[in-house]
Amino acid sequence: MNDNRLLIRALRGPLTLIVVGGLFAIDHAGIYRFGQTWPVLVILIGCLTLLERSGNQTAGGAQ
Amino acid sequence: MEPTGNLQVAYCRICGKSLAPEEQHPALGTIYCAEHVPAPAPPPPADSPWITPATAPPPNPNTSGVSPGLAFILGLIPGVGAIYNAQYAKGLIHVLVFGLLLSMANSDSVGDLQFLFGMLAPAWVFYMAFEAYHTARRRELGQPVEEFSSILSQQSAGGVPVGPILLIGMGVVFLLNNLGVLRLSVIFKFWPLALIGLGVHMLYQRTQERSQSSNENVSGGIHHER
Repeated sequence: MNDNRLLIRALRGPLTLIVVGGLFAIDHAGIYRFGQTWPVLVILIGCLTLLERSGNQTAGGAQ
Repeated sequence: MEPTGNLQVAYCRICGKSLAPEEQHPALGTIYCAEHVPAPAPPPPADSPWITPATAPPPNPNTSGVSPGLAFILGLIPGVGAIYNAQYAKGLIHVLVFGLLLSMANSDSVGDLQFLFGMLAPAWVFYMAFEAYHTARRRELGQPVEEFSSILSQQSAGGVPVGPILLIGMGVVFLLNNLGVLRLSVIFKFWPLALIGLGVHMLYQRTQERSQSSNENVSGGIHHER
């Protein structure tokens, strides 16, 4: 098991929560609606998956 | 917890205990603690129905309690089939895709393609049902199931991670649309370009495959899983 994968896996939950919280904070501040900013979450998930996979490849690929 | 310099902490899926790197037991695409890791450990008592089925030994598969039929029926409800199979992240993605298809079918920005998305949404419902059925079938037979099995192949074509890139691209497109920078209707005017791009990509891959197999006869074929 690679260190990078574990790190990213450990960060995934907290980061998602932080971003969701941030988006709702922006919504409540009246800058952008959450209905406008939700794709940020999709981008975040994509980035994390990409990072996790690249960490996987440098380690030789367990899966 | 003592400070360890780097953040290699993971949590057991079953009990939520935080685990130092040396006591993590990766299995089935997630991490378990020593007493909940499914494969080697004996099944934990009673109230955790999720991990016993996935690793039930092949000789007596019927004791696992996973029902593919039930998985199929639950799979008709977006995301629930995957949840039944204890694949929570996949369930979330299933719901997201379903919701996206519905909103696309409903929005004016896609123009003529509304009909296409309207047809894709019910097709996606049946995909989810059958996907849940096959996953449950594999669990019933005691085969290990990865968290993201069969959504997108883990070994993506040519080492390029298609799934994440697709996610990021979609996110960027929708974000630009929502912020009014670049409207979806503008993008969808050029949708046939996607077909052309796909064709070019396939062409490129085939030629790569061919030059590879001519260079090294043995390993050329197994590079792409098609």
